[in-house]
Amino acid sequence: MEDEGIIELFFNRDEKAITETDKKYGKLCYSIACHVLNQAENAKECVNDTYLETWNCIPPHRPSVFSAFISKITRRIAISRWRKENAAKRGGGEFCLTLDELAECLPDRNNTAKTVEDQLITRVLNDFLHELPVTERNVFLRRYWYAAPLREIAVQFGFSESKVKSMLMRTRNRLKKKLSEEELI
Amino acid sequence: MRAYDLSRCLGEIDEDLIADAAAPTVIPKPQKHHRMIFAIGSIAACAALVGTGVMLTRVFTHPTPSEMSRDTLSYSENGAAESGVITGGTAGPVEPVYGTVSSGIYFVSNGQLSCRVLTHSADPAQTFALWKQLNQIGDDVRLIDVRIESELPDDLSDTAYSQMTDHQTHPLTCHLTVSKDLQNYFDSSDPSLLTESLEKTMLEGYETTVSHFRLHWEGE
Repeated sequence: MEDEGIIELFFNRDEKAITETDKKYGKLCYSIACHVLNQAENAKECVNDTYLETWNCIPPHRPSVFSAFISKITRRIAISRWRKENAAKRGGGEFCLTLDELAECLPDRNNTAKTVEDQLITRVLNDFLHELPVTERNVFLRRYWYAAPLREIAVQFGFSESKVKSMLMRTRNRLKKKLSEEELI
Repeated sequence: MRAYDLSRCLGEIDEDLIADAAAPTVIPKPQKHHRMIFAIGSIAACAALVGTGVMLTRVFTHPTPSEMSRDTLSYSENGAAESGVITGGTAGPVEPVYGTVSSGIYFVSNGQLSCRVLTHSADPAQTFALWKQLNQIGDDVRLIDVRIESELPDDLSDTAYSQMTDHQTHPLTCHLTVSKDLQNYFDSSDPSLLTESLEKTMLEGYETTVSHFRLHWEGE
């Protein structure tokens, strides 16, 4: 079923919307949740929560890119669950590694208005990503948005793992420079 | 945690960027000097297969089925993730060099089987990785073992064996062992669809003709 059809089902409050969403995007959502949480059972619960939140958001919201919309929800729920579970103990999961790598770009700072800063960072990130060559951008997003392991990215793009690592390092350095230019760090 | 803030902001980027990055990527064709290596590799792999065949049919003069040794091309997760090992006869282990193949990678889309033809290494580990990628299967699903076996029935008579063609005497079966996590990805309405896509992908992904497929679960 096309995305528009699924969205219509949500608008009509037809429970078939969940079935169709699961059929089309269940694996994608599970894959995102699994990369962040590193645990099958939690990932499945996270996917179910995603469907519930999607059901609550549509209507009134009408997503323009349904796959990205549902991926965003999954990622947000998975990260939130990951935070709760790692509040006491840090460790485990691919997401942990991606945070360590991103930490190079932004040093600790605690006196900024977070909401305004978040919007600024998101805008800068959007500009930065649009300026990047497609391959570098997708490799960066596979790693830091989808939390995909390096080996999986290497296979996907036909690169060696070391090439992926160096490509990510260069992109992080460029991001750091960009954030610095925007006086965000 | 600042890295967490950055990751959270990254979560709010434009949706078209997210959708672009989610789409499976076609593996770029190897560059010219790589093609030469692959060509040499293909010839070496073919020579190894022909050599094994010759050994089995000629060096051991008319062996009975019970005397036949098995040809095995195997992949092991531990220690040989990037290469396989061919054993058989008295030739000892030979390290194969995988060539490239253009084969169909099957995936389940909207409850139906779809296929995308890609040029890739004949290494079964890479074929499996591409299949995982197109089926959006995460890294939790692992390839444990791949074996290609040439098996003859135990009750085959010498007369029947001598009447068989070379191809018939070497019917190859791909034995694939994967982690049970794959079952988490089964479509509840048709669980067999995903395994069917895996079977078709693996059978087409070899340089030689492999006619049968057996899926095994880790620990069984």
